[in-house]
Amino acid sequence: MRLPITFGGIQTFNPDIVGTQGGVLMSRNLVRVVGVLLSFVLIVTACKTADKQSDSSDGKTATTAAAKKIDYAALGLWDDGACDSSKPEVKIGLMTVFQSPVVSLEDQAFGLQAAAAAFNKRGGANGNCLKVYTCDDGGQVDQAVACAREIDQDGVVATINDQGTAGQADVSDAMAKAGISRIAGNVTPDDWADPNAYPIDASGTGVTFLLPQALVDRDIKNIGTVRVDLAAAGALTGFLKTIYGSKGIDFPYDAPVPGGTTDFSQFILGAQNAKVGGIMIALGEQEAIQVVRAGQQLNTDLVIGSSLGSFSHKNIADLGDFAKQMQFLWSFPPATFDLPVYAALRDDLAASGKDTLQPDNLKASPMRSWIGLYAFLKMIRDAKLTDFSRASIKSMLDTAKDVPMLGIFGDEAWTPNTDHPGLFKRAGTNHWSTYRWDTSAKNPVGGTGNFVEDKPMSFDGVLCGSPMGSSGPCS
Amino acid sequence: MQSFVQFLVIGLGAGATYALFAQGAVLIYRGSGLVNFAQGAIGTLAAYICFVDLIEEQHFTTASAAVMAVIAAGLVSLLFQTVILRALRRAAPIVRVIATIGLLGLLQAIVAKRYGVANRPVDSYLPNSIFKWGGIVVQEERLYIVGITVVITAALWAWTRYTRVGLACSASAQNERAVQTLGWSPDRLAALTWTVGGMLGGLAAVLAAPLTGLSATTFTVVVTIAGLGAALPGGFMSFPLTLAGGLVIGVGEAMATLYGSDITKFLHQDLITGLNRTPAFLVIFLVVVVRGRGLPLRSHVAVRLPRLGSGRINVPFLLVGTAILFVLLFGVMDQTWAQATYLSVAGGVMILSIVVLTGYAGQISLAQWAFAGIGALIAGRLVHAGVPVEISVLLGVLLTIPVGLLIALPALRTRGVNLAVVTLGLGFLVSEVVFANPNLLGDPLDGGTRIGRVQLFGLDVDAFNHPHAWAAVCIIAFVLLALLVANLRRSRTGRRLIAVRTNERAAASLGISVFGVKMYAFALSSGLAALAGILVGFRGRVISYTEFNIFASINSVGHAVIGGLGYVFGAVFGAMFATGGIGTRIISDWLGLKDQWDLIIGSCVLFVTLIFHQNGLADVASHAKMWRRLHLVRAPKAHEPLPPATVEPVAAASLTITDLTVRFGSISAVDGVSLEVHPGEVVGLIGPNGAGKTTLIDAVTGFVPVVNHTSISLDGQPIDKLNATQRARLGLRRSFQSLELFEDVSVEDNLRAGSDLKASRRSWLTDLVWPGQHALPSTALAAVHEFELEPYLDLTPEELPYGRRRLVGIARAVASGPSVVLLDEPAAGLDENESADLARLIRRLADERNMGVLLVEHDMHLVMSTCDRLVVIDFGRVIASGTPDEIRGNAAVRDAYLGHTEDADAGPDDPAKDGSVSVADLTAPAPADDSTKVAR
Repeated sequence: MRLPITFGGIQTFNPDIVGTQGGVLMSRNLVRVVGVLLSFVLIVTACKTADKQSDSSDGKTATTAAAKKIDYAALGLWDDGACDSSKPEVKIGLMTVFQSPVVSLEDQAFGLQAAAAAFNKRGGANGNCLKVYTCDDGGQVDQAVACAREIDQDGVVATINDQGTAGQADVSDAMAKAGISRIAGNVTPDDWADPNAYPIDASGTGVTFLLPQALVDRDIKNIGTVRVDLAAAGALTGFLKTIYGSKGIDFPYDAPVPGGTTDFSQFILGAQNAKVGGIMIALGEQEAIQVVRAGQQLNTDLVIGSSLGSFSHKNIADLGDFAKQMQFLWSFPPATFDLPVYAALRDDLAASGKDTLQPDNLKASPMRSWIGLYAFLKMIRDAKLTDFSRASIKSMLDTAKDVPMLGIFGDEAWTPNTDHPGLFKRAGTNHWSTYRWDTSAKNPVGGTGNFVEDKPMSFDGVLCGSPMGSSGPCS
Repeated sequence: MQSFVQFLVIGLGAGATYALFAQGAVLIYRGSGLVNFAQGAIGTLAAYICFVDLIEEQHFTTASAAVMAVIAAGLVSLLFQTVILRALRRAAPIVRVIATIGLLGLLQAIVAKRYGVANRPVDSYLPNSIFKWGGIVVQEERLYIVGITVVITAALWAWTRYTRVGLACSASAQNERAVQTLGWSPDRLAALTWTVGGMLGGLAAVLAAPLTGLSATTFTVVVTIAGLGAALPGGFMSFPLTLAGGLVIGVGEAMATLYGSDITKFLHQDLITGLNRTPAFLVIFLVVVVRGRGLPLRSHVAVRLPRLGSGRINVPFLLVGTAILFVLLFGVMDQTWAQATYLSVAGGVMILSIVVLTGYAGQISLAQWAFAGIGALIAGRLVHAGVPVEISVLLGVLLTIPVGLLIALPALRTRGVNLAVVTLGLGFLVSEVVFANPNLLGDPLDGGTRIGRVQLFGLDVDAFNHPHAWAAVCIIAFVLLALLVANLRRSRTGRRLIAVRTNERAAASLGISVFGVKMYAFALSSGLAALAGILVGFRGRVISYTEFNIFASINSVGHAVIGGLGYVFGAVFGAMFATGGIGTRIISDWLGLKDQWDLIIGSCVLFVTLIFHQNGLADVASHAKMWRRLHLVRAPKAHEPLPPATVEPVAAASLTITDLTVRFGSISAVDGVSLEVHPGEVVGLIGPNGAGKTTLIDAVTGFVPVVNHTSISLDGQPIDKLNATQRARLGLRRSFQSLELFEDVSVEDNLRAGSDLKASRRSWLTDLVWPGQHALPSTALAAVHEFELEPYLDLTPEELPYGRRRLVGIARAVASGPSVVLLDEPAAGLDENESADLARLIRRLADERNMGVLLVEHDMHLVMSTCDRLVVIDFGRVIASGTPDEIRGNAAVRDAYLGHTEDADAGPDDPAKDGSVSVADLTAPAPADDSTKVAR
């Protein structure tokens, strides 16, 4: 007869359930305990290994060192020497989704940290050192809300280049209530009319509305959309028809790319089957690359339009001649573009040692961290701000005008407190441009093969007359 | 046409991948009888090991990395089989399935933790040239994958068909003991199939990685569902059919992509999402519904499920516990902990829905968070439209119930693992088709449903600004719902649920509507889930639907198991593990373990629970002496003596069977049998084993279909078209040869299950609020007295000696006072004295209560002494009928038992042909005849 095993009055082993059926003895029970413990140790070891690896990756040395001394003043920047660490820190923040199956933006946080470190060496915020607080919202509502609270509790005075993917309505509201200004963010629909948001451009949402124009510029009238399989993206084609329908542009093919897709070539073949001339990709980086690779493998003659947010210099260079079939769009040029101020940008970000911040790997999203921080500090310098309270920073943003953007947005300067026509009320600039890949163009970092500007476009100009833009008159 | 062929080719590549995943699952099922839900997760882990750890980090060649990764997958699979499954060898299949679901969650969390959740592209390593055949593009890489899958399928088929080890593996899953007697070790065979099955999963993922890229979450889900769908057409047994299933799903997905816009236009929709996910689900759904059965077959083995709590409410404990929680919430917790509290409590409400559905009714669902999302969606849309929150919440819950009923339909045709598969597919489909469609959610730009700040009865309770208030709302909701679920446990309705959970056949034989109970359980459970969804969804200004996914459903089932599936209080323990809840906070804030660690630890706790105490933490706690010492648990009251019962005659009705025929394929199990059972008459139905006696009872009581539909009537009313439940309710009851008692509940509850059907339909609802303490009906009381069961009423059947269990089975059948009762070998296993007692009891049923009794029995002493008439059947046909004396002298009967009359002449001591009835029994005068006649 087997009796229940009890420990401290608690029955830990019930022979009715296991024992009577399995002939289990105490020794076998112990073997199980050991087995479970060993398994757990294995699990812990597996995960710990990963932790170590990610730690070690943080400490990589820069692959691109500053090759020559940069004349910051000549670029429109400044170098006042290192910030004064005895002064109160100016706390800036960034919250976004570091990793998710749809989009991973950890490099935005790395970019802000690298930019802050670089600007601190050149004087910080009028001598006060910058301190960066980042928070991963995990693409989850609760984490986003927790991040907003954390950033508030940490005493952050402004966020730079944050990008919400979940619970944004609550986050925007919380930030506004806390008086934390959101500068150069990658705005969502909840932020478009938010007086607390100061985006420089229409950013990631805006690019999806402009991408068809990039293909239209290459004489393509039938456009396919290959997009993320998210609820909000499901309405994309409908919106695009309202913008471009009157211009004779059709969107006969719309393909959501679900997670776990087992064959990306179906989207290329599907688009070909729909007789479109080109496709616009509105996908996360990894899916976008896979769709393009599928197109390359199938040797498609489709023109593929994409934002520069999805592709780095290296991604495109690896495509070889197929890259010529791609048409890129963004509000500012890619990192390897030959723009003087980018020498500082590349140098500052590369100094972090992060792989993703090296010029060849640099994408638009971390660049915006540097650009946003530059603009923020430029305003502080021009306003000679010494009171870094949330209120004074908001006041500064509301009064700043024509912040010089050093050619990054064409010849446009930025006025943060703007009332843009159309839905994107807070979008500060209009400049966008298309880019192509030229295998013979010189890369300022070294070698040949680079992006070349194709055709600038105006955000207002494209959207004018549509539900997204101003009602006109349109030029 | 060219496009069609083109997408056909594409679909074959994806389909081959699914098939390869599925072949591993089929092999595991053939070797261990277990469906491995973690097959996709094992493969995903192997792919990451191959392409990240070995190739990217360690710079292995692709070939060597692939081999090592495939071996690693086999080892993970082997480790799981050895450590977890061996310990669960004798556990109910559903418990072992939950273990594989736990492994799925664990591996997914480990992959996410170790490699991150971002997707990673993988370079092609197989030759990937392009062939163009008449405009059709064929990628060489896909051809290799299809080829490898076909070769592996053929190899597996041949291995299991022509090798001794393969045959032994297949046999082992069906009968371990038989295989053991042949010298094979079932453990080793299971280990072998799990290892090879895991390796196949690893190989499939390594082959698919360049096509799909690496993805920690979605890829696992997709291949899990598609793989299970591929294996279902072959019943997890046939490798060729699994290959065909995989290819059908792959091609179906490709066709859905090709014709997606046409389908959308055809249905007059602007947008339909998730179309390419429907083929896998359709295959699953069709196979389950077509192959399923309303009631399980006689061969179905009832399994022991986790123990049930009593449902008794400890009011002081409840009040003190709730008060302490409120003090902690408003006095100690900051906003972050308040947030964790409401997430935990909402998770607790979800667990209550699982307690009702799985704990009480025995139906597993992996789509609970889909119900939750639908509830949140309906309520959210109503709020968005300006309907007050209070009304919206109510309507959200009520309108989700029909959706739950719709989803319950497959449950009427299937059960157990198949139900888990179909609900898993359904949950995924809902998230793809409904939650990804902005047109259904509200404003397309929101990607969700905008509800603004939540106010309840004029109070601001929005979770962002007032997390403590929202947590309080969640706690109040949880406590009220827990009380409802506890009431349900103690009620008549609860007994019906438990009866169905324990044994659907027995429940139907007692007039309990299996259909009704399952629908009720799904309805109530989906309503509770909807409320959980509303509590989760309404915590933000915009409801986000990404969290209503199948991983959430899988995790909640795990949490329910940890807490105790059969215990209301288990929801409190399980809620601690809710994602983002108190457990997560403790693990991250106090232990410093962030990012996926809560899921990893939760999975490990699930395994420990399954191995050491499947009944869950609530069961452990309910047995703790500490509670009694603290006077928080009262000792159960002693049973008060029962009042005397008035034995009243039952409603008189004759059972008439005319030309009854039952066929199984081409075999006639019952062939043109006619007989009658009149009130107050005991008719014996005898015949050798395999003669068709039990099949006749099954047919008469509605458990197997008959060929001719005008063959059975009760009191002149044809009952052929009625189902088993309806026949039982008309007064036609039966007992079972194998007893089929409700082992989880007391003898009293067994009797109540058979007798408290006269409750009104309103009791389905009123029992939730007012379960009442109903006295045993007079008919049941009479049965208790007649069968002398009063001392055993509080015991469970398993605590009784065998003879007494037999009596409980008969007492349960007659507890409602049926007009006719069919007893299937009631004396099997009884000794001589017990048989004699039983004979007297059967006679009393006929004589004192005017019941008609059809008695199937091999004990000829009992038959001859008890029956008024006998009907003898052999090979499904009546060969003789008459009084016992007439049958004794019937030559045809002797032939049937002995083969030839000459053989019978050899002597009365010769063994009977089937070994169960001796010639002496049949031919000798009944020794108890006189005494039984006296008893009349």
